[in-house]
Amino acid sequence: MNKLECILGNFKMKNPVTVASGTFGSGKEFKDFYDLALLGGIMVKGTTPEKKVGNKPQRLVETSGGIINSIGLANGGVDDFIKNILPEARNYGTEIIVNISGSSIDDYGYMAERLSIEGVSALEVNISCPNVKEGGITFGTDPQMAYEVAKMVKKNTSKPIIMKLSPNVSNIAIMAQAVESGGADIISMINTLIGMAIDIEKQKPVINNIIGGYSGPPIKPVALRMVYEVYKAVNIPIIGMGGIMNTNDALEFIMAGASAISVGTGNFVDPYIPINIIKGLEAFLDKKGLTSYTQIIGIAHK
Amino acid sequence: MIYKNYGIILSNEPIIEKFIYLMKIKEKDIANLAKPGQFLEIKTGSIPLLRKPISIFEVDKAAGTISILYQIKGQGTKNLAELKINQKIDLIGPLGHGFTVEKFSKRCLLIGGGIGIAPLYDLGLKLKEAGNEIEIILGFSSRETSYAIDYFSKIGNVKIATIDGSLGVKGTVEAVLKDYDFNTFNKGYACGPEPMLKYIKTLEDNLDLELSLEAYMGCGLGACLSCVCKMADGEYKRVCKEGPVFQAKEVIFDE
Repeated sequence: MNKLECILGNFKMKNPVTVASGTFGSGKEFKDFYDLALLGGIMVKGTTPEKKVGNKPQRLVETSGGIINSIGLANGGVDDFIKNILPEARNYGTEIIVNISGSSIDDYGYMAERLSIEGVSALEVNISCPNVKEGGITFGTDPQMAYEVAKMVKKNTSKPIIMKLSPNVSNIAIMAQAVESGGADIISMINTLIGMAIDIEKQKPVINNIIGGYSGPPIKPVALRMVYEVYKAVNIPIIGMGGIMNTNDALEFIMAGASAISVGTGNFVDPYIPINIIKGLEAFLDKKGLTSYTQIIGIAHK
Repeated sequence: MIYKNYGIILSNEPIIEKFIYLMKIKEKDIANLAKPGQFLEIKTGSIPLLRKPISIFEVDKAAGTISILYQIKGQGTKNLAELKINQKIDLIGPLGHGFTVEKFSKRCLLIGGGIGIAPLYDLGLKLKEAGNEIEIILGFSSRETSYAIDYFSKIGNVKIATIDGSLGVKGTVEAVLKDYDFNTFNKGYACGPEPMLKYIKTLEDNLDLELSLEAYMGCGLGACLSCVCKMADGEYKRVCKEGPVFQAKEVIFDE
């Protein structure tokens, strides 16, 4: 029996270790290091209805042990993804989870419909972007809006829907409940924390966009706390992420209530982190005499 | 093929204390594949979190060694300077798209400013091996902060510019290149600070030019899309993947 077999409601993976959107491209850039089929799944770089060139550099900086990025969802658009990226990615032998973004509720419906095709295993819905039509309020910080997005995506696809929660809210449990009632099958969390860095010589923000998303080891305690809170608030499974660098970190997320985990910034530091975690989880289960990692999901709540 | 391997440090010596260092590393897989203009992503310690992208200075395929010439700029390069002989070093490489090496009908011109001279040495060696005659222009701030000139002297005629005039021509490499006769050259390569590259780009009508760019990188592998540079067609390209070497005509420096 596969001790790491991962069943997230209507979505199955060979193991609970995935790589986070925006940190792994579509997988191609990491093929030299290991067989991508070893991964539970790949959350591919965020895709939008139309091509986006992305933000003016500087787009990334390391600060206080983590990184701030503001890439601006640079991508070739959904048509380019279907035509040029998916045909290769679908043959990697792992689940291809397509991360989608939009600037209106209708955009999300369109993306869900366009990506309801063979080769796409699930959709991860990024709601940390502004709703251009509704005055720029971020979908991910307004429970009603997040609910509407989930409902719209659900209406337009039969693929499993993963709603990716933003941590930049005062009550994450309310957001989680909103997307659950909108029809989300799974929650992934957390997206990056909004932050900034200032260049004291130039006396101005380092990132051209002024603010960006903070990620890496320093956000782990925050992410873990949020997973813990959301686990209590909803009945759908959670994919936990935020500063995971090793097996120990992954186990903490699982014990807080995550049914799967994702490595993000860690991929930049050491491409083998996801593989090391898969091996490490197996070793931990053996050491504890457990037959499945599911026996420790949310165990910290007991 | 890209490797993530541990190399063994064979030497790590200051050329100028607390400023410029030369490290020689034994790592045969990377040495075997490395081409001029490519770089390594090096994990220098627990902090900084990110690897540091460092140009390859010299490759000895037969010996299975790679050398890097690096300037102390931040914590990452400070960490590198403290590494000792026989210590392991965590490398990813070879990375990026390098310089064109072939036999040209006329001479080749190499132009380097500051630590930007680093990738030009291996390039010069390989161009010389290919049968080219090479001229080199190196820019530094002063005689005291100049380095590695002896290396470049082995591959061709070297001209120096220093900001304070303490060595060679006074000024930047521009002072040497002003009124230069480009007729005896048909290929130029440059690496250095952005103002220098901006000036070099103005020479693109006289010379077929390749520029090696620097950018703040996240992964160095082409995944994070951080280190992009604006192209003449309005698109962004990744310095770590499509670069660091670009045709001068491809790039624009408006940002």
